[in-house]
Amino acid sequence: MTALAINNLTVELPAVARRPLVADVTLQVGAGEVVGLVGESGSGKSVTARAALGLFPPSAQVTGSVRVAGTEVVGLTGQALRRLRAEQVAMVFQDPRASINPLRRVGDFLTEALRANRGWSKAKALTRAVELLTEVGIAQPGVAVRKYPHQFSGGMLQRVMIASALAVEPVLLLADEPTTALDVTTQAEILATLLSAQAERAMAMLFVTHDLELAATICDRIAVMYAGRIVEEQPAQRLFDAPQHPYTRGLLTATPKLPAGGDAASSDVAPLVPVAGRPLSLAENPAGCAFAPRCPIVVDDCAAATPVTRVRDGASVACHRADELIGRDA
Amino acid sequence: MSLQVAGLSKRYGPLLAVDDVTFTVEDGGALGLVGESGSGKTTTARIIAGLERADAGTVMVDGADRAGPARGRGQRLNRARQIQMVFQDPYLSLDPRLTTTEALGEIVALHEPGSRHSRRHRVAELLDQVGLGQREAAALPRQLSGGQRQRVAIARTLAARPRLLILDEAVAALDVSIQAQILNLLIDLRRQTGIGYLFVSHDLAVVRYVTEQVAVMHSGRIVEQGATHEVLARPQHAYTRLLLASVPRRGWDPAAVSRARRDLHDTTSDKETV
Repeated sequence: MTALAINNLTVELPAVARRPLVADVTLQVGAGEVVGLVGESGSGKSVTARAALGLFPPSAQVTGSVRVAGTEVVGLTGQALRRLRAEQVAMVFQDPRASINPLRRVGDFLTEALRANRGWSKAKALTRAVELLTEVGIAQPGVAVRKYPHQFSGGMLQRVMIASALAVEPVLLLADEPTTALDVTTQAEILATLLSAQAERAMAMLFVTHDLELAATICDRIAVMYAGRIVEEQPAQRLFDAPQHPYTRGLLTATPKLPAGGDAASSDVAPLVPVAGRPLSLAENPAGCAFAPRCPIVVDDCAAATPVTRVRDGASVACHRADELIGRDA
Repeated sequence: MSLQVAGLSKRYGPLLAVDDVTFTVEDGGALGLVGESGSGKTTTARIIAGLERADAGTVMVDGADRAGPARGRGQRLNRARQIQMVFQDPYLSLDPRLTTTEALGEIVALHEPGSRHSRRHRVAELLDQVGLGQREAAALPRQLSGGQRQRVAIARTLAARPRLLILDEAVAALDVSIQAQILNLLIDLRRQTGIGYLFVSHDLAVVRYVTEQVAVMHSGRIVEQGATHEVLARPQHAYTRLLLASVPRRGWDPAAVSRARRDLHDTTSDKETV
């Protein structure tokens, strides 16, 4: 069964935003699969990920379907919603310090869910917490459970966060920019921890990030979002080798890169090619393709209608010129 | 204008944040100051800008010492025309109640009073330099996107016609598609005006596009320094190699990087205990 199946999800916030936060998003994550959801700020990637927890902005109007292991999440309330969050979906957020109660010991934080939801004894839950801390690479886990969050560095606290997510034994793990607030050398360790836990459990993981290069190295498949819509979805390697949507292409040429082996010794650096213009704000809702004002290959049709998503050879692209683009200089 | 920093040290309680830091930025040159959080790169930058006082060491601009406090309005203005600083988050450094034009006009009046006409002309020139149009000129900071706000922040620093800009993670908070616009703007500004940069960043890939020289900081010290393309191609220090290996790219293996990091930590802590 598909761990996460989102179908035609639209999230609107009429009081605040003129355009939908998320528009007609369809996305699947299978068991054991790592799917990247890539986009810039305001693209709707976090709203989409949180939908899997049944977590929508207050007073949002939601249409479409979000199924976790077959269970419909949209409209879920009360006991059923609590069970979803307690047993099936876990989330690792960007800033662990903002999501762990600073006044409670790390051990209490880790055992809380096990004791409340599974009715485990304190001793049994604590044994499990120590096991989990060992798995995520915390030295002296027996001592660590007695410490407070401020006694950990950001990277170590993110490991605690991962351990708490794993305690649920979730079907689906949502990771929302889990390494963005960390130093670059710490990032590698957190990702290694996350990926080995994911592989061992054959867990489904939705990895939300603004960093296309990072997503390409750790994900099986990547969906790129722009202004609330998925504009392109492909297997990670192919997305990198043959990006189809002009926005994805733009993102790749705009990303600063370290020199590859060949041009390492040269002091000449090929200039970056930025994406012109600026992202669509929530107050704007132009007709047609949201990317049209920034698009280098825009034609008259683009402003007329929202492009439909076309699928070919495992690549799906929402672009009026997709037929011309797919297969070109692949 | 050349900037010479020698033997700079700064201690916060038990922590030696900056430890004997020495480097030079040539007239119109661009030096990248690279390191992770806590490496001392921002403290170094703030000492040079005059926002912090060093415990030891000198900051010389064209051979004149800048370390002591400025005396009087004249000297403060003079120093402002030497070095200006751009911060990571322009939202925190812009007055939320001033439009772009007002925010620029304020600084122009400070540095080049002249007539109202000449001031208005100078503001238009600054807007043009950073690529802001009519709409952005009349907008408040909250009506601008992150990239546009950073353009306003850069225009404000240029108003003083400084010879050196300190950019402290100036593009770190921007989305990729916008980051490239600002990096290209910085490259163009330098080409047009001959301004020098001290570019403080955690991101080696970004530094590569704007600087010719780079200094890598770790635990308050500069561990490696040289031509940017040389350091990136042939890193000598183990820490620089780790930093480079940590940048995600094709064929990247986070597990291998974390092993390398642990090895480095083991060797450094051994040294400390011996």
